[in-house]
Amino acid sequence: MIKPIEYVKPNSSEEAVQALSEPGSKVLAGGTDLLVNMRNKVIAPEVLVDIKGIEELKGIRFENDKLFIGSTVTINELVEDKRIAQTYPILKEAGSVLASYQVRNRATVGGNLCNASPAADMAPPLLVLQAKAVIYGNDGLKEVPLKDFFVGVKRTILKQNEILVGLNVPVKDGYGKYYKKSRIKGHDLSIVGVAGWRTDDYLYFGIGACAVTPKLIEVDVKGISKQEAVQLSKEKVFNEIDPITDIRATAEYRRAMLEVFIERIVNEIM
Amino acid sequence: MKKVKEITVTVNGEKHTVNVKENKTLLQFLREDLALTGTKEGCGAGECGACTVIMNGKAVNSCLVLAVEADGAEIITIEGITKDGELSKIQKAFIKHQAFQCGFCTPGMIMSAKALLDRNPNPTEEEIKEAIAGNLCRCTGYFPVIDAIKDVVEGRIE
Amino acid sequence: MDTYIGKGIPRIESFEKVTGIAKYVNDLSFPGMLYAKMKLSPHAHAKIKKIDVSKAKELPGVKAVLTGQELNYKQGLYLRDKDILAQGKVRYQGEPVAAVAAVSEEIAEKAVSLIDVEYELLSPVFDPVEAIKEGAPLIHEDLGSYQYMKGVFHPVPGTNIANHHKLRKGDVEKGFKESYKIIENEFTMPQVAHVPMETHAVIAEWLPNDKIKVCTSAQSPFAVRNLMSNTLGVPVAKIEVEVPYLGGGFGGKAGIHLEPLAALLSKKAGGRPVKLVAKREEEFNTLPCRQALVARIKTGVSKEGRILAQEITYYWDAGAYADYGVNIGRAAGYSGAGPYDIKNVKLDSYTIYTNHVFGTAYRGFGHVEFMWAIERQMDIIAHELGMDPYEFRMKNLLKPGSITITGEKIRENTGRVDKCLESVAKEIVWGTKKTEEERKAEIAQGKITGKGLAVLHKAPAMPTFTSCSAVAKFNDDGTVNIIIAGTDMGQGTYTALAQIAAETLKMPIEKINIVWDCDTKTNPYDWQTVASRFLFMGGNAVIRACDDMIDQMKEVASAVLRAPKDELEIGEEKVYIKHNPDEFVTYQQLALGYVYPNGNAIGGPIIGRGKYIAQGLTNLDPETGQGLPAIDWTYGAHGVEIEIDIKTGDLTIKKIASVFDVGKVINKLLTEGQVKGGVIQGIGTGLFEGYIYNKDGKLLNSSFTDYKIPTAKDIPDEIVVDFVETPQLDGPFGARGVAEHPMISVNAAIANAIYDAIGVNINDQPLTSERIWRALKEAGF
Repeated sequence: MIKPIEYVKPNSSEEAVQALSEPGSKVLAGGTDLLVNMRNKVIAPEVLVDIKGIEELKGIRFENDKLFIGSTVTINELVEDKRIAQTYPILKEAGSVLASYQVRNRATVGGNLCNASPAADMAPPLLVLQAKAVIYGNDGLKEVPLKDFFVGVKRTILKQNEILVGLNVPVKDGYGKYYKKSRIKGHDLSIVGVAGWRTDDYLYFGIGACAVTPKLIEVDVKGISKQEAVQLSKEKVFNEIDPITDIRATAEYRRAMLEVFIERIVNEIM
Repeated sequence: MKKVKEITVTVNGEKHTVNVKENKTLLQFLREDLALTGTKEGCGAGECGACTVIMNGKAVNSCLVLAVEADGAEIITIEGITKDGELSKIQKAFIKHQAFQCGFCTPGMIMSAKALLDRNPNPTEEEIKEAIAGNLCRCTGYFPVIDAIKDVVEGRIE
Repeated sequence: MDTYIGKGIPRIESFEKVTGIAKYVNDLSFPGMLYAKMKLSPHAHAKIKKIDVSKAKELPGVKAVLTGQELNYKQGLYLRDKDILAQGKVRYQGEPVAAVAAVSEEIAEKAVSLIDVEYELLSPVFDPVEAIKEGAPLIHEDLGSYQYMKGVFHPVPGTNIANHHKLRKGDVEKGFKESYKIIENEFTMPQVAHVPMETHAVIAEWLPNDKIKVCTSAQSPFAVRNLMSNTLGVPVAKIEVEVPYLGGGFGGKAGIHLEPLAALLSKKAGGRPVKLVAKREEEFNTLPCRQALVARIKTGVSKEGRILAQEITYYWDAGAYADYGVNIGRAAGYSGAGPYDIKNVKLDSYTIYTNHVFGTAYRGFGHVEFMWAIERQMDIIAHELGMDPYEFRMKNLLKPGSITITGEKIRENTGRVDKCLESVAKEIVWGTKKTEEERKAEIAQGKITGKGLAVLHKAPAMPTFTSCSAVAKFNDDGTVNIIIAGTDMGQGTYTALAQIAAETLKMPIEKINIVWDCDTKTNPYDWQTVASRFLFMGGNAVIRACDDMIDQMKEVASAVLRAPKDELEIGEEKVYIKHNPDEFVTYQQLALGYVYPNGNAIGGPIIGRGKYIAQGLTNLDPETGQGLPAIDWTYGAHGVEIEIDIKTGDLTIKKIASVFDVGKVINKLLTEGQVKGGVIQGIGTGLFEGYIYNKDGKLLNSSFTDYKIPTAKDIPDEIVVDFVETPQLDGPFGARGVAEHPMISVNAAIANAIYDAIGVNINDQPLTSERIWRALKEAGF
């Protein structure tokens, strides 16, 4: 059972921010995590601010040199978008393995990020694509690199009365790949999620489920061989990531899968 | 603080304008307020799919939607796919292949299958599995469910 | 007329199930109904020092609050050891300590959150092997005073042993002395959840005249009635138990569960109906699961590959209660060497209390657990002897003439496990070893394949006097209602019984109505719908009820047709004279009594009565375990082909073939469905299911987030199902049960295939990709 709440559905970012200024209020986007947490009494907000009615938070738009993904775009809208599939198949790959089809019809890109689960499937690919979080608050709009967005387990830099408007993704050429390891092939959380992206001289890795937040790691591979790149990438990743043991996997196994995925990704995209 | 809101929602073609508690899920609304108990609760957490209904053409877990979020929406439940006592093709296919045993997951499973066939009349086997992977069934082992959906796809059901 | 036996007839309740009109307990409500919620213990073993319910009671809308102190009852099936709400102390985290009934779920939930419980922690014990050591914390101090089925179970008061089942056949020491090799191993299996999609649900009313009405998601309404009566001291005549549609059981809804608690809440609330539906988390954490097992097996074999002696110790982790679980230990005691012909066997099966969630019946009833150990051990022995595991098994399997470990003689019609094994081996093309080149080519691709085999057996585990009955009665229009008290939770038995009735009465199946909504106040007695026994016993009862109808019809027809009874025959819904079929009287004419043209009437409504009681079973000798425990044995085998990703340990089942000797297939479509579903359930158990606790005994995976069961994406690429039909002489049309068997030994077949692929024995379950990855490391990949 969900405890009694008040539900408001603002039409604009301004109204949303105003509603969120009330203590005890919380953003409702897809609700696929929020409502479960409320049912389980992990959280007990008093007011839910449904942001799905706000125009500027909707839609997927390619504008000149950037791609905008509205925060309330559902995972399936992203996965089923033809231009996304052409330009950034990595987003489709990651979206397609997130939870179940029904959940993806509700879960939003913004919600997946704002929930800030270490295992969020959308974080690794958006990190490697150098996405910027577009945030709206009392001071208006601001952009923050996604890698600075996560500050801890289930914590982001968003203040109580700020909302994520969407993501700006610079449109750049490159190749990418997302690998997820989970316990079963169906609906499951990842125990390791690795997104890889290659530009001319760099490899980027977005790593999920291995640290308190999803992590972005940059590797300069100018003039080195594939084999060297694999080695260097592993070193760089393990300099920053020390996976933990939990009931889903041991640290040892996570580490091994990270290595396997890094190797596979480098071999595929370099 | 008011905790009740008026919504207008169309369920199985019938329009309802009602006051609902704001903490009520769509699942509770369908079962308790509209007595449409065909939609089941298996976990209440969006993991099992027993509560799957079609909302604005999309399969959703009704336990993860607040009734107030369904304001203005069109909902189809298991009760809404039988026309004048005539079973739909997917229901007939489920019977032919016995794609159910205890029947508890069946309404949700059928709604997921219907949503799939509505958006993609020619799904591959992988797409079929993907569409129903969010519907847990402990009885059938899924093989007959997949066979039933394939039968509809391949036009073997009248 | 074509025979109905063997036909693939869809479930008789198909329409109800595909339209959502089938009503399950939680779909029902009654005027004035209250909603119940439970307060659960956060501790695995603790004294309850104080429970303060005052704030809960004061909350408007709360109609009843109960704590264990008020409930001086013990409930249970074979050993009455279970509190309705924890009394004095809690024995597992998740155990209910208090409960509330209120006018809404919301208020009930709020009220539960207002209950304060003060605990004093006690030392817990979680490992069954540790729990029987001297000095281990005692979980049931009063075990010696509990009521139990005497002569069948053997609790050891003053210890954590709820039951010690002993089996002694031949002389194991002598056998070991004669052995060429002695092979000893330990195998483990964790607790596993049933996961019916419908959680436990009950609506109970305890009326002011002490009449109790229960509508419940139970497999066995008569067992619920009987056990409620025992527990609450209310005569059975005052208790009515009804079971509507049932959303899966798998053993978890056998025996008795939340019914007494809901009834007592209703009593306290002045008789208002109380609905109690387990949350999914409670289904994992509060309601019972499959027992865990530690198995130690020592086997002596001859050079030629005959098993000469086997010493087995089973340590069952019963968890906090063993009311039903003791019989699992017993079943393992008489069946626990597998379908093998072994001269010398010593077996000790201990059912042991621990501070885990408690165990109960779960599809396979111990056999999924110990066959895991046996079938792994058989493969290991074959490898040690340098023999083909198939050949080794064939050499040792039970065959007509063999004597089982309890002294039962296997006969021509007992069933043929060897034929099942032969069939699956053929299906997966067993015996073609891949060449070293082929192996290298596989490894170069990052994948490695393997094949595995495993056999199984199981008989219904039930009391010697288990019985069942059926009533068949005509309606005005000549259709027949069959009333029985076994339940159909999806397994399809009602449809099979309709086929059996139609076949016996030689009438169209459309005119047979198996009455749904099983109710103790109207339906004739049945023990329990468990143990794969309902088709066998219920089928026999239905045949007899139909024969009784036929006899009564012939009686009347004899007068009407002026012909001796023994010259009458039935067919096409008529009773006719054998040598003159034009002289007949229709079923409809006889249904409610025959009326002559002049108005005279004879006969009266025809009601057939049929019954069946287990024949020839004996209690087992307490010292040697010898006797006859089994009404029938169903044998089977699985063959699997797997592929392992050598880097990640991911395992894909390319193909699984499963064959069972069911005696006679009554309904092909449904029997195949039963097998496929069971095999997938077995794969879930084998590959990723199992309870995970922290060091304090808190269950960490008590929801679908971390307790994963197979989805549509986790099934094998191919499944092949087939049957051997060695008729069971006393089975209905030769049939025997196959409800549980499909999930037995799937785990072992997969682990055997892993060995075939990588040469590493994995003896602990589940076979997660991480565990396989570790094995790959061990194998040097």
